[in-house]
Amino acid sequence: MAARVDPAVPASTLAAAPGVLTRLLALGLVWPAQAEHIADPLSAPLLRVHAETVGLLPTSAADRAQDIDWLTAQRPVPVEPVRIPAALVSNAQAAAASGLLSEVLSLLDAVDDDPPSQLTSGGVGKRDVQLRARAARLEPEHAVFLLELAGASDLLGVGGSDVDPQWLPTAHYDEFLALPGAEAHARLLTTWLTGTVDTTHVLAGRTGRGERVHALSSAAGHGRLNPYAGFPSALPQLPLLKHLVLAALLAAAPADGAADAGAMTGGADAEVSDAWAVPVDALLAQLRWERPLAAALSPGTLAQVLREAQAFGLVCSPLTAPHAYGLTGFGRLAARALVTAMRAAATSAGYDPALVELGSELPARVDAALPELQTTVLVQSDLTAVAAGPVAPRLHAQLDDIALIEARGQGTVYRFTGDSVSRALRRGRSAADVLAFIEQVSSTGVPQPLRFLVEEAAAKLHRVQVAPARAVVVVDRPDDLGPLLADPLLAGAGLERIAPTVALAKVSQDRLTTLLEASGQPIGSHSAGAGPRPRAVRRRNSGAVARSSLRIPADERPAFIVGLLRGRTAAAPVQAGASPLSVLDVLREAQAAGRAVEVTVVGADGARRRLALRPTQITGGRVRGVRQAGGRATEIALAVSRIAAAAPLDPPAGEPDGGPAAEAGPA
Amino acid sequence: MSGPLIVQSDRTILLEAAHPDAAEAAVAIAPFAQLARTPEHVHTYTITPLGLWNARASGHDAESVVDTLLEFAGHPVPHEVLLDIVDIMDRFGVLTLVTSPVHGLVLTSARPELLDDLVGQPELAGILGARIDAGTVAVHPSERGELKHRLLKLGHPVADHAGYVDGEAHSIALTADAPEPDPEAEAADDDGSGPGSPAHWHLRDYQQRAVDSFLTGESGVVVLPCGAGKTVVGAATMAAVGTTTLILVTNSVSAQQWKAELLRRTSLTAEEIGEYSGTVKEIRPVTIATYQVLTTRRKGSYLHLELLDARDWGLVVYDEVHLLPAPVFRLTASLQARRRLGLTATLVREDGREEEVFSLIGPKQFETPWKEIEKAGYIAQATCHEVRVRLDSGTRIAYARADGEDRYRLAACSDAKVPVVEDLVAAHPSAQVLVIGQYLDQLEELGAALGAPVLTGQTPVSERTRLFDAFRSGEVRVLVVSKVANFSVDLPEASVAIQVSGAFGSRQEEAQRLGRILRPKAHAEPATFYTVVAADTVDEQFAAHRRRFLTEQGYAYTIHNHPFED
Repeated sequence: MAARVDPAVPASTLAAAPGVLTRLLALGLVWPAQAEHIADPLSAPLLRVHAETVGLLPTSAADRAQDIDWLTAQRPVPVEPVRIPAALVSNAQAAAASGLLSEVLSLLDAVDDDPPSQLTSGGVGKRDVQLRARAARLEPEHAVFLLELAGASDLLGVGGSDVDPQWLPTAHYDEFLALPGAEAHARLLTTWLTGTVDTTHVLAGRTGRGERVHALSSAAGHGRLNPYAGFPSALPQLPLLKHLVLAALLAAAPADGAADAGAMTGGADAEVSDAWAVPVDALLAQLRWERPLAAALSPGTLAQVLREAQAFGLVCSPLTAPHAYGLTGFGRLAARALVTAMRAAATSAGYDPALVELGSELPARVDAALPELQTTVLVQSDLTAVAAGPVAPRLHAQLDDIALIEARGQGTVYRFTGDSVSRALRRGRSAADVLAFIEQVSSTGVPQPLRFLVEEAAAKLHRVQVAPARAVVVVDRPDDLGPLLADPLLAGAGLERIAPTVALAKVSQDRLTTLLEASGQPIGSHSAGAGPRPRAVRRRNSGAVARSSLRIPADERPAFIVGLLRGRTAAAPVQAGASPLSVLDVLREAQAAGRAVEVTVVGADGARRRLALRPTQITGGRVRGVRQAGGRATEIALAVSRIAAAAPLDPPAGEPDGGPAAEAGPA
Repeated sequence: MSGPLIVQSDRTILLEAAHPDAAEAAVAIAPFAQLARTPEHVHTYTITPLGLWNARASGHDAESVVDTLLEFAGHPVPHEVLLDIVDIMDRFGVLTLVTSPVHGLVLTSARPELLDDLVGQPELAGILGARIDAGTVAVHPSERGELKHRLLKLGHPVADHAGYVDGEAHSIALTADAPEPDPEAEAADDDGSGPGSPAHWHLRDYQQRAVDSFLTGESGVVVLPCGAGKTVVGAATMAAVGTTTLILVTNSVSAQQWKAELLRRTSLTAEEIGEYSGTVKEIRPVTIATYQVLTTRRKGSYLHLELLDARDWGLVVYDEVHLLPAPVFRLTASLQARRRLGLTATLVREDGREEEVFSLIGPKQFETPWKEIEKAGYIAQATCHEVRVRLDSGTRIAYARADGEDRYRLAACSDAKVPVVEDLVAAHPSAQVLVIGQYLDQLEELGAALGAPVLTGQTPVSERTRLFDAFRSGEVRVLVVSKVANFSVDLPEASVAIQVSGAFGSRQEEAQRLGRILRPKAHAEPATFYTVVAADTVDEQFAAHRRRFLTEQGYAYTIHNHPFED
């Protein structure tokens, strides 16, 4: 009751019942205040009480009138554990450890191939997770667990542009790839044992407190919004639950069993020891009896923790009872190391995630159980390559570049297709390079159909090519093109020969025409570039339509009216010229060259004004540039649609001055 | 762990063919894993619920399956795969079909709640009869096959202990039962003996195993390569069962070949074998009928259905079971009380109905990889070549403007293929050559260019027989044939096949066409298969799909551009 007023209770208050105090300390319901680690908690002058503990106590007449579950709970009847044969245990733990590493790499490959965007609230969208899961051939639920694991292990981080931040493998991932399998497994396992994320919340899309949560989002347990942060106990529930589960399963095995002895010795006999499985229901009942206040102790969370432990090879099920779990050899080593470390540390709550230590025996055992990494593949005539075991990451990365992954697991099947090979060739690899690589890693040579596929893909890749072009020069004879390419006056056009009589220019057709005329070339319009003539439609018998909708600037209206009165209707300020595209061309060239242009801008009222501008950016229909006026440079932005004409201000040496300005038509 | 198997989480098994224990492992997993692909180095098997249930029906339990996998695995087996296997196999036997002396055919279960659930399923309405007690429900005997099929789809396999009718007994004996000699010597014997010649033949080891497997399972499918003697397996099964038999075949030429083979291999006389086709309607103790006649409809009803009940057949043989037409699927469902033997070389269907074949005819009882039979010398060694030709520019423009089937036809029937075929025929001056295609005008054109007779579906049966005989005797060296020669045509002398067009991406068609030249040759000459393909067209894409079955069986295609570089 004292704790209701102040959670820090003087030890003297409880001194009357030292037995009760010992039990409360063991259960973690009471712990020494102001000291995280002390040798003897019983000697602490001030004790703190779990707020929920007090909440459970019957403090009113109404409370006392009711039965309280945990007060009336009976100790569960021990269940006879189910034996799992040693061969099955040994197989299960090795398969799981190997499979987990393979799955993590598959998923991160899928993320790397198609990085998901980061949600504005953080994390990855559900659909993105499903897509990556499908690409990695994983169940979405399992993919969420692996994503969280990879995120917590710093293998995934946010990168990409500020506009679209994306989840990408980190630099740590490269280090991770270089780690021996057992070390990688140990690193992931340590992360898992200390991880605070309840995967069931992520799968449900909401935390237990109703907050929306996505995979890798802060609400799922990362960052400052850790749902457990600020809780008086300062002890995250998930690591505690994992510890409790492993410890309970360790205790469930027959104490005098050969299995335990085997695990203790860690020798070869440990590989062949049986395991003892406890049904999930019985395990839940036992944990609830021992830790009635453990917040995360729900059936769903416990089942998920067991599934995750199974993925690490720590637990496995008997084939006849899939809802029972027992510790494998790996699991016994991990559980024993944890229990020993926590006992030695004598923490106030009996557990501290910061003190998780796996020891050296487990990685050694995992190392012995993991299959050897394959550095060669069997290449077959059906255009597949098969690795008869887990593939070395470097080899996998290179094969992934030129082939599709058809199946991945203990063995990996790659399939070469025209598309997969073309993709690699487009990334800059040559056919010879690809074939040399396959030759090097294949223990069965390169079958002719595969050689043909690669060579054919390379040949096809260059059969049709696409190049950027803004104008094309076509000449009758190949000899005529050489002088044009060599002409310094045409250097600004950036001519590039693509065929004996054809060259591409990097400037617009108008600009190219100007440059060619300036260099003394008579220009003819190429028919191919003229485009189809508009098809005649039935002509209406109506007179010419006067474009009277044109806006006349206020200061020009009198002159316009006078003109109209005098019969000069053509006095409308319509300027014939090129399309707005030509204006853009001039602006882009100026931007590329860093030159200033004089632009004619039409205001909202139709008034025209000229200003000098050095374009710095042309995007989204707007031109941003530096305006030179009165010796001052100011940055302005103009809508391209407002620019009626643009002309270079300071032509470079050798170029004729005052070339006709590009003008936008009135349309 | 150092075995030849790699068990994957997706329930596929990879088998390293070069491993010393590979053969032993293949035999061990055959009862429960389906062979999917057998390229040269790594064979792929799949573990399916159907395969596991079939294994369970054949007496294998989950423990033995798990032990086999663990024994032969080269790497740890994913634990969830083992859990799945146990779970799936445990489902078998929960529902049982038995014949009750009082109520006739009944479905029983030790789990009444499951029966409660099934009785309410709309899929089973009209199939299940009255509820007899909590654990028993009556079944209409005519719906026995349909019930099994639908329950299978619902994920509840049925253990069918209702037994088979014995059928009308009819004694059939094989003409030779001596142990198997050296394969090459046997091949020479075979070649020297035509139908009706003195019997110097023996049931080969794999044929005997196929018959034994079938008899163990009582119904099912035997998969053997073309030319490996499926007819002999059929004859040996008939002899073992010793009952009247209905044999369903693809066409009348095939029916005649079956008859000739039965006369040669068994004690049956011509009078005991009847033919039931469009022209002849004989019902004898052994009757050979075509699928076509069975599926002939007039005014909405099948005219010749009575054939199925005309006699008390003890065995129904489905030749080329992969071609089973949809109506025959339905008819087969009502034949569940009779033993059914399906024979095929290529159980792949582009319509994906392989599973229906398994559920209605029966599970795959026996399969041997093509290359294994080839290695033993029972079929000819074959090399496959894909020759790519480029279309001329006029055809390319026409091709670019065409769409749909016209595109394929333009590409497949390109004139550019004619000189290639001429070159290929000229390259094998002493070989018997088959030129096989899909489109009649193309075949006519090729026939004219090669000076070879053309045999199509329009060719009268008598003319077909004459041409086949002339080809067998060597009088005709090059024969241009349409898809009528895809199946069941026995032309042992053919050693070169040139495929110029086909039914789009049909894998089984390509395999069957290769099968025409796989009969072992007198001097063990290799067979050569060419497929001529228009490059950079859909023809090339279809060709890639078509050759998948054979490449997965270990046949390596050599691909050339025409004109040949070397």
